[in-house]
Amino acid sequence: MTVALPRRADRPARAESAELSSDGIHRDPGNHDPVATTTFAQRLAHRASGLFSGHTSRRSFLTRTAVVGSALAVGPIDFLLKPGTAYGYVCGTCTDGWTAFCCTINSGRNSCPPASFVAGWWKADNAAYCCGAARYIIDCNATCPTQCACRCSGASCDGRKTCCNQFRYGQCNTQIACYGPVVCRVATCTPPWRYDPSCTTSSATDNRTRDHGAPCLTTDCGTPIAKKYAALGGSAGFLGPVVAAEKANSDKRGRVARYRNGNIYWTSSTGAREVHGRILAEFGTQAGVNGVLKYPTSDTRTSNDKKSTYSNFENGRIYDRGTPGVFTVPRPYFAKHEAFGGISGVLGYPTGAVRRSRDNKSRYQNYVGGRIYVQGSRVVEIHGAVFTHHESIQGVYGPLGYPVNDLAPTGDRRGKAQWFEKGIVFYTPTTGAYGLWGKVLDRYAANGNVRGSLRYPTSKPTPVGDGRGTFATFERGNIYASSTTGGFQVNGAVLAAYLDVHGGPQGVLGYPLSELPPAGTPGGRIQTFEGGTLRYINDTNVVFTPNP
Amino acid sequence: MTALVVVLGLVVAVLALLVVGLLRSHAEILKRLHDLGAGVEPGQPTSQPASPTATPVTSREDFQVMPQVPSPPDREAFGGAADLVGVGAGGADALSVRIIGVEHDTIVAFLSSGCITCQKFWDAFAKPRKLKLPSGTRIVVVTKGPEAESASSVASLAPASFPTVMSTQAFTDYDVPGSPYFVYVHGPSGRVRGEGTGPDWEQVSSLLAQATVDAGLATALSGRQVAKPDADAAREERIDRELFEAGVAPGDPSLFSVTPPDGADATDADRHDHDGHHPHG
Amino acid sequence: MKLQAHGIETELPAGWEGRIALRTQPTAATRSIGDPAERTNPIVHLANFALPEQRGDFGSGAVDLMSEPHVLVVLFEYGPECANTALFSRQGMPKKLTPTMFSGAALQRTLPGQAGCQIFFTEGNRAFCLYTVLGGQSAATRVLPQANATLAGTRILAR
Repeated sequence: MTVALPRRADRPARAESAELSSDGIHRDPGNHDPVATTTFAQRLAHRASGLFSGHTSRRSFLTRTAVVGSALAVGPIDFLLKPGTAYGYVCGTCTDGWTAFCCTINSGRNSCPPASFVAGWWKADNAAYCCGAARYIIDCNATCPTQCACRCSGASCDGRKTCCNQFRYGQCNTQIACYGPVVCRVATCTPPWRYDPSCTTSSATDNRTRDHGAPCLTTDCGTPIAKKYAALGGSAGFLGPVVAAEKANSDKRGRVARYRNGNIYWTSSTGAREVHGRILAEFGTQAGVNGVLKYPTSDTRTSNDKKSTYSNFENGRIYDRGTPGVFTVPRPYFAKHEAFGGISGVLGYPTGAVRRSRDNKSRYQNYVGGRIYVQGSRVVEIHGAVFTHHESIQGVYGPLGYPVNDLAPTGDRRGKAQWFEKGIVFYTPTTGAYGLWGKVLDRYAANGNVRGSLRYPTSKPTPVGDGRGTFATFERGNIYASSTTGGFQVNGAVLAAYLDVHGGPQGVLGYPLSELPPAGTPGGRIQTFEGGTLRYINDTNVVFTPNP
Repeated sequence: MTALVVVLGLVVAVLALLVVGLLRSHAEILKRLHDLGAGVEPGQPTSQPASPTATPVTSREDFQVMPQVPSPPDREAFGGAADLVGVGAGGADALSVRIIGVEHDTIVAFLSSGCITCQKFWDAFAKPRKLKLPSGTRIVVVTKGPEAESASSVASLAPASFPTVMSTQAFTDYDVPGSPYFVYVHGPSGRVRGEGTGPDWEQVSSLLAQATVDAGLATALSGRQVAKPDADAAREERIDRELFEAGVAPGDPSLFSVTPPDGADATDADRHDHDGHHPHG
Repeated sequence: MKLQAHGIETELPAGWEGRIALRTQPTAATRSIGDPAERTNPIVHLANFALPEQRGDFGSGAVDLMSEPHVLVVLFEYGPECANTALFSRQGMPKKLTPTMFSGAALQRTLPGQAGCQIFFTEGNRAFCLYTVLGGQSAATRVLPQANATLAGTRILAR
């Protein structure tokens, strides 16, 4: 328990300050001796500190903190060989005579707090905090009149003093003559004259402060690329030794460093990413960061099925499939591919590079399960049975033309359909995939397509063989069309009579000229053909009437 | 029990050394007196002056440092120490280093940038923790000045932990025969405790440590001197009185020099016939 | 004992040793010791005790070893851009220090019992800081005459 004793009467400050100023001593007149104006208890502690400094040990505390780890990380040899505790080495104490760091007392901000100004600086050489480069400590001295009081910072680590040391290094803001004690210190690897333009380049050195630290200070050790390289094992890692030192790219966006077995690229938005091996080679063929892929957004990864490795880029991905090869999936293929489940989806792995079609109307990329076409802004995938069928009828050069949208459900929960420039392919697992086009498709669509009586097609439009027309079969009927007639549906008993009795379109009836009217039609249900009519009486009775 | 035996043995050894020293001193004084004719009963013949070929008190062998390393040249006594002033390694800075009248002892290491043996010392000084210096001892490296040394070479060799002074004058002040050479100076008195050289720091430091032990032993002995037997004290008093009556005061050169004064012929009073005595030489 | 280097000379009284030194200028190849744009300027350390070789510019490393009768005088030069600015407005190096100029707080590193005095000035168009540390403030009247004798024997040559 301490007792607050009456303070000694202060000497008249103003008279003394005038005398000191004339001597060139520019102390704050109101606070010329911060220590003298502290409480008795603080002065007692200040004077007694010499008795105890270096004698107290907090080793048991150290084992429970990360301070030792910090000291070891910052300066392992010095820490192991120097006397004193790790706590004192990095954290400091209120009695060690040094000033606390600004981030400790300024709400985490490594900058001068209010009522203080950048007054001077010094450097510590070979600082681990700056990866072996010089570390700069910038003093923030109190402005006049001083508004702070000499005290301990109160932090458990970096519990050093604040507003106690009436000392100035003097290279900064030399237009300000009056100054109070040092409020706190800024630690930076940036040269002070770049930190604050008022600082001159007059160098001062004090290596005793090289490893002074605080929990709020982090090492500023190297560039993101350097840190990445170190994290990947440095020269002993898979990247191997440096081949070309880190430098800025010509695009002024990012940086690259080259190693024996790979590169590391960095931008502020993508971070530092490594690219190596065959993926790097493919990246190079794609013109690297200056090509369509831009900067990598991931390190090399292994696919879930373990059948490939891949790297992500701002505009795509590169897969290394081993024996099958290395393939780039660039934008916009990549988005479509991913939308359909990527390598685990219906398209599967890419099997080739992006190509341009023979007719120059599209670019496309093949996959194990299908293809993606790009025409202008239109990106369409085609896969599975639909793709197979499309290809079987000459693909984009056939009657269907280019796909215009992706395969989509038809809404009846049975099948799917995909639109093409000149037709539609319908698919169910039971009927397969068949495209329809021309007059056949027109009639099919007029009759309600998959929701009509015909249901799903079971064939594509096929020539009748007479040089005149085509027909397509469906689950419940056929559609016949010729160059001189439209397309008309024939189904049920009428179709049976048409085909079995009268020889179909090459028989006496020829091509249908109308649909079969629905039941209840006045005059009966009569379907007209080129060569006559077929009247539906019932499923077992269809009457043929030839034309006169 | 063992410790007690060891301590007793050490005490006996120290006492024996003391006795030997005293006896030797006594013998020397008697010899001198005999040469001067002091202490001779009336009528008894007195001794001849010591021959000019008398053996010096000390010999070169007493200062042999290492068999394979040349001994320092004959000196009448150890050279004195002096504060150092010169330029820093690199030749641009100015510095002075106090050696005399300071609380600490100093090992002044005279090196050069060119000598092969010196390189081992430059290397050793780069690792101060491994030097195992005596407590309270400072090392100062001295090379010749920039006019005789390569300042840039010295700058590249200079240890970070010890001052390096480039000063040709220092080599003169310390009467240094060559480099490497080491002088161990007692700070408070400026007295040279020891000097010499060796092939590497290990050897030199052990020699310097021995010098420290010897000095410490002398200090210890002086503090633990055994009271002289009364007969010895009475004899010494009588010798002192007789020397004084013969005109030989303490510090008289005749007590230290074995050659007769220059230009002086021996007088009958000075010539003594030993008849049957060995000529002193 | 006279020391002379870098446009500064001093005649040291008995019992003092000193250094007039210039640190190595950092270059692009030696970023471990600073940025190439830094400018090193002469630094003078004068003391009536043995100066350790490893010292900060304002005496850290040496002040740790000081006891009551010890004095450290530091003359630290700044670049020409600092000369005659407000902080360095005093003309001429102080030659007489008095105990009232010293304070236990006016130290780069406050150590118990010690006291410091820091004075910025310009002389010969050169900007300096004179920083004096007493190993024991209570010994000021006894040791300051020595320090003043050292200052009296120190001359700064104009640029």
